[in-house]
Amino acid sequence: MAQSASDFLQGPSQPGGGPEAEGPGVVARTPRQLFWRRFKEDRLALFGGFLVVFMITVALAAPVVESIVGHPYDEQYRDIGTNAFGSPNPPTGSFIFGFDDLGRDILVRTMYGARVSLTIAIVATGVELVIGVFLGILAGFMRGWVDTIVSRFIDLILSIPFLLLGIALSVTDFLGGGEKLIIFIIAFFGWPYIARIVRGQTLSLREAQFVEAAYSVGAPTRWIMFREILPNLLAPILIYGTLIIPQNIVGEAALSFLGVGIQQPTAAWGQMLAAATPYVALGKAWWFMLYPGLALFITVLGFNLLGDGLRDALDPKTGR
Amino acid sequence: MFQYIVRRLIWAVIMTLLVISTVFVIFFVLPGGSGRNIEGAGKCSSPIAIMMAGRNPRPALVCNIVKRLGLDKPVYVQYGRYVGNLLQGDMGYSYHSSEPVRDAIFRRLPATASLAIGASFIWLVFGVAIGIVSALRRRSFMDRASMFFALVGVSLPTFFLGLVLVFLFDGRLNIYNVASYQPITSDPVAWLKSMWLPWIVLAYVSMAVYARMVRGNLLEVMGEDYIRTARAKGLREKSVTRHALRSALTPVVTMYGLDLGILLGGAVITESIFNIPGIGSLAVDAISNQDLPTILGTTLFAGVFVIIANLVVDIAYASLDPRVRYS
Repeated sequence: MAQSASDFLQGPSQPGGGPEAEGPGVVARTPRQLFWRRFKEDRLALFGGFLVVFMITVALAAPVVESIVGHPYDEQYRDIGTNAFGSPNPPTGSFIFGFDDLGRDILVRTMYGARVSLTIAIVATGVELVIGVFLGILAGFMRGWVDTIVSRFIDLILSIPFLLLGIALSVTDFLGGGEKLIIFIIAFFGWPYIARIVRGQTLSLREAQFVEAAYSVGAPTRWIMFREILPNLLAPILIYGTLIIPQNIVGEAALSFLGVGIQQPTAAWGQMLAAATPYVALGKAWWFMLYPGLALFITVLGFNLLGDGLRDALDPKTGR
Repeated sequence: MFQYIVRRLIWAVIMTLLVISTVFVIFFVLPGGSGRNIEGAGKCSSPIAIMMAGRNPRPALVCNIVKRLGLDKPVYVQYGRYVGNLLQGDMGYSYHSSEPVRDAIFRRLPATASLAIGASFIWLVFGVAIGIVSALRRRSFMDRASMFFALVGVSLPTFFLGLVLVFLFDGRLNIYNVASYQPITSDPVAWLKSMWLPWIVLAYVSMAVYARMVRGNLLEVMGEDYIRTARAKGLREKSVTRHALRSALTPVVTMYGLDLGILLGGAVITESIFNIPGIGSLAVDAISNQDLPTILGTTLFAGVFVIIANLVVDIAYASLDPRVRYS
């Protein structure tokens, strides 16, 4: 950017903003303070934040717990872990979550699963946000043929069955399989949702007075798109970014449940659930499916609560 | 209106072609795609032909297969042939079972349709009802309980819920049997017995999503000026609610159409957990068999359902809201 911020007055403006009126007994509060006041009253959102922090801690602590209990995540304790028929054995004193079908420690594997799950979901969300926000602003601001191309491309992607294409890609050597492939599949099918929301918001923001003002002082298009409109989109981007993480976590688990991407001996929750499936209909080895499933549920719930809370606090119109 | 429909129809045809091309590219252009010959290993070395020829095949046999399937032709020739056959309703023959792909898909369609229609009916009725009651009795015990129920629903992945319920109802209580699917035409009672649990599993997540959406929309509409006006002029609360419901429920029509379209293309995970022989499980089997015509056929079929659903929803919307036609 060649221009300095002072060229265009005080940088990003707030729609309908300006200094807050200070009458007697009225305290001026910045939008951030207003947000925080609302957010900290929302006990569900705080609980969601707690769950998210808890799962991140679990992911970070996986190697520590692994060395404390002394069971590497890929070590197979077949003699004590599986019975004479090869079925996994239930939890014991030092294997508190029990064993999987190969006699491995489910506690350690579930904790390692958190690393895979969170890394993939967060990286994929980041990629989706970059692509979705860029194309969404471009389509909403330029309109015309740019908008037509972007919008039709979005329609096309949403017409392709996500899971089928995911499994189909896993048979090819595309991106070498593994985590990169999963991130690609999730991000490829995820950015259109962000782009749609951003496009819609940009369509209305481009008519706002601060955009007109920026035009009138001669700001170039690129400046208006990324220095004027983008900062005003931060709230929806933050909200939908948080709400898309849990969807990506479920997407990753669904793909690895179907055998795409993460391969043994690396642990992923979906893959653990798939391995537990044969025992489920027999009513055996409840610990095998329960712990990875619960970890998945808690993580998704935490992000959902947090995202709902952010939405309520940043956009009080949609109050409950 | 007529012009609008024509425009949407043309677009739907283009989309279908694009979906076919996308899927085709994945198998022919990407390295390791099964339709491609192994480079530098002679002319007759397509992985798929080698697989079909069985163990230790004679090179001549492999060459025969490559020729019969047209795998030695350039990609664009194969593509043109595929699209040409498709226009005549021919989706090719399965590499695995030699059955026509079209027959395989239509044989599997009733199972997928039973699953999709039953589940979507459940979630539509309960999701909308819960959403309305929650919004009208905001902050009541009923509202809080159903929103908790919905929150769990949106956070509970289908496959985990499915496994837990199969464990309880099949593994422990023995009141359900996985892999007991019977077509409705052969035995309606057995059909119902095999479908109730998959319906619940598939419906729960969407029910939660719909309940939250309907509640949110209705609360927003109830705050609009025209609702206040309706109350101010002394309309009974029942009529006010009816006014509000009309605009709060319009987005549900769109969402339901699209969701049903997606599901009719195969509910991959639910079908695989409950061993339902539908289109989703056909596709998964085809992928593990590297059965290219079946993979292309099922993906295309699923894509076309989404495109048709989009078309129907767009036209329905345009007839409800004239502004849409001219945008």
